[in-house]
Amino acid sequence: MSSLTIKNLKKRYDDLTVVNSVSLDVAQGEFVSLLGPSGCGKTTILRMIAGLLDPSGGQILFGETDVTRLPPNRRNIGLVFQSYALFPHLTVFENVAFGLRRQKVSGAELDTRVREALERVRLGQHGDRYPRQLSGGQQQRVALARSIAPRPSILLFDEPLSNLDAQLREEMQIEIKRLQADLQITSLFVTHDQHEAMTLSDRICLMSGGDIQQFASPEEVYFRPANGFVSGFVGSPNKLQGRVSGGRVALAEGVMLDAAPSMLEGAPLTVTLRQEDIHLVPGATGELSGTINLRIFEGASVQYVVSLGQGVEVLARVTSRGPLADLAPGTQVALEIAPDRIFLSPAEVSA
Amino acid sequence: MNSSRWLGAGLVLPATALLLLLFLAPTLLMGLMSLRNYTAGTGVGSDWTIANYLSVLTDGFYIEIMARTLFLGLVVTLATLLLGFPLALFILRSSPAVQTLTILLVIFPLLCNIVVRSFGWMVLLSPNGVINETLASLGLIAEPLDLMYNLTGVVIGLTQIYLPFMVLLLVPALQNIPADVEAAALGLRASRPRTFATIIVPLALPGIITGSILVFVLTISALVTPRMLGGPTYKVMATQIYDEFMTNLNWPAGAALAFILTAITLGLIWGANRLAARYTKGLQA
Amino acid sequence: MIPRKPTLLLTLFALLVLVFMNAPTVVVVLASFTKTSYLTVPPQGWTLDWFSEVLTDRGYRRAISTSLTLAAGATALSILLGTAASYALHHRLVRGRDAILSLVMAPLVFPAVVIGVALLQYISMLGFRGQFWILMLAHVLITLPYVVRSAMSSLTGLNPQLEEAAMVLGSNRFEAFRLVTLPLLKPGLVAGGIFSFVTSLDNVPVTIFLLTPRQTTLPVKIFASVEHGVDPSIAAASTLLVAGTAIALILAQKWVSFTRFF
Repeated sequence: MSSLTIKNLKKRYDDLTVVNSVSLDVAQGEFVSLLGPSGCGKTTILRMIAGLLDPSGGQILFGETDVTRLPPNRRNIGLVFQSYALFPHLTVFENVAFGLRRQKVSGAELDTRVREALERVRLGQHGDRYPRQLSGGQQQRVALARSIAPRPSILLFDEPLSNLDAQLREEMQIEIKRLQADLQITSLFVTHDQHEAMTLSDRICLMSGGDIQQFASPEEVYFRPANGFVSGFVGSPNKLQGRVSGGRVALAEGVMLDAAPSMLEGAPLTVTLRQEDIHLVPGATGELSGTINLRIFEGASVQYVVSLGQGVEVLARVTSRGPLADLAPGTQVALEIAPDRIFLSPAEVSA
Repeated sequence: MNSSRWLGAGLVLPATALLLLLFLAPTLLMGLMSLRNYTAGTGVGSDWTIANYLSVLTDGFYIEIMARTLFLGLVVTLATLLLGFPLALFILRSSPAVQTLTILLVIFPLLCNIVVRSFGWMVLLSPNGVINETLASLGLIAEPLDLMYNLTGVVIGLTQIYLPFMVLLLVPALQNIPADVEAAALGLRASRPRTFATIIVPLALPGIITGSILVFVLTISALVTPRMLGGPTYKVMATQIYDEFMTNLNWPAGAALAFILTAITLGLIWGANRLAARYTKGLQA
Repeated sequence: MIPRKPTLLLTLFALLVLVFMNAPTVVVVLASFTKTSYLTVPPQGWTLDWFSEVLTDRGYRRAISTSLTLAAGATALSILLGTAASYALHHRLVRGRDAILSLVMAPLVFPAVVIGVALLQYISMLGFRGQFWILMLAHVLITLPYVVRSAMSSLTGLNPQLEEAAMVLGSNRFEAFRLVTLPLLKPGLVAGGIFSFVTSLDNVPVTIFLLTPRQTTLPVKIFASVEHGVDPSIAAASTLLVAGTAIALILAQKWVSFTRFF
């Protein structure tokens, strides 16, 4: 077990930069998620750490050891793939034993350690089966057992849960969290799912366009997003186009938002508002008010489409057991948004 | 560059070297040979000439052989199409069990040796062969029919030999026609034959083209069957190439003929690929 | 196409075509059992004499053993060379992937007789005429495309993360190939190998140019014998070839559907 440090890691293909000088560190036993949209470079970083891809520059350290130029088989890592990548011609037992056999573990010790790994993922009885005889969730648990059996110093996850259905995914999240807490393995988890990252991680490294946008605890990332991208990616945001007007933000003619932009008067900007940060006050009128257009019951929460006039609409979300859960369409509401929950960024150039 | 390049080079080297040394080099050498002069009696000369090509392309003897070869290719292609299309339809419309059995009966002859099958046709077609004997014993003919050592025998033999290719290419081509399209045509009150002619056949055309070119190309380069069923006097390009090299020892003429055969073959395959690609593109757009 | 039952006319026509397609083989097999000294179908009486004649004849025995050695050797070499090349081409370990692939596939579209005469001329010039290893390499040339095609399609069907998983778990590239990729390629390689074996066993238009007067293969011997007149021993020899092919076909069925070779 060791810490993981990345220094100025780069990956370039001709004139396309996929990873742009990224540095991050994962403490011994820590669980870090690399979160971001597809194409942000997160999988590239993971593959470079695994040794499956050569970096264009920078360094990768396991503890104090520089592994940048080591082949994957000499890095002693565990890697859990999105496709599970179980060997279809080998039994579950032999799949788990694969890494141990490469370490020349044999006989009774091999047997004990394979059983131990399988017990950990509650598949002790399935050693003789072949992967195709197992369900998707079971297969991913075998993959997990296979990656921890050789006692890797670092465990990497490449979107391991995205092939599972929602319910199974939650069960597996808990399973992974428990396993990691028990074993205290330094872990790096790549995902595009913010809930997954929040659930699992000690810290989240949010990436976009080959750069780190914020590297902090889940709470920090959620409550204090470093920039417009982070606020737009985490939570369920409204993204609105506005313009600086009289030192405040105009979403449309007469629809004003109480915020203090640092841009020049008249500059276009993008406003990011989390749905759950919009507080609705029924019956009231205020500076920012509108009428409820649609009510959508989602189970744990209720979502409202609120029309602010001039064609501007925002989504607001409240808990379904609260007092605001039953507003009928047509209800007049005032919107209250704490100034520190409004995120302004220069208008995005439309792609 | 790095280790994986060396590994890659090492892995492809044996196969590539084999192809370069025993395929590309011989072909190029034959290209040179076809440009050498030849004198009967003394053999291959050391002068460069295009006389071999000129003589092959102007001499009535060679022209007749080439014309006969191409005609044979045409007849065999049409015959395999006429026999293969209904068989492909039958395969598609049969129950799975019949389908498997039929496909097996199509593949089995394909894998059987061409010499064996040609020999089988000799047994069937010769003047005192099975067919003539049967017809005679039934009193239908007085004299045995000339079924062998002529165009008839070679066409029958080659049709049987290359029919499996046609069927195996037509089956997927027909299978890929969406049922909706056919249903739409019938729904628009097109008659069955009209639907067949205006919908099924055009949509199966890429498969028909591929199959036809393959059969044509295989037919014009066939050596064994024309020799066995055509005999020594019924000459086609492949048998003539064989004779130039093995009997006449006029290698430059043989090389020129071989190059012309190769040019026709590759030209047709190239053209067919382009045609099929264009046609498929049109269908998708 | 709209599923529809075949009409009676179509069924009858298909039946006739199937008879046409299989008649020559059936006739040869039947003729090999006749008691007469000339070929006749249906056979008059049943005997295995012609088979024992073929199997005790020195010429036939040598032809059969040459054919089998040639086919086995060419197939083994094709699998070795073809798998290695396919692996490198699939993983893009070399530049010029398409050029190399076209080169390897080229003997498939070249007229066989042209390959035969080109080789004849080339090896005569190099003074290798009549060497058995040259003949074997020539057979590798014409069987390699089948193995490469089969191996490439098997490799394409493999999850690329399997080899990565093996490497991360501590195998080097070679171990990853031997322990994971190779076992998974086996069905494809066996199918390609059987097809390559049959192709080699059948070949006349390349082989005939490269033999010396003293050596021959079974199909070439049958081909040559026919010119000197036919008798039931030729039918018996042919039947042996058919039986060999049938066994290969049954074996191949077990592994894959081989319609994809066309």
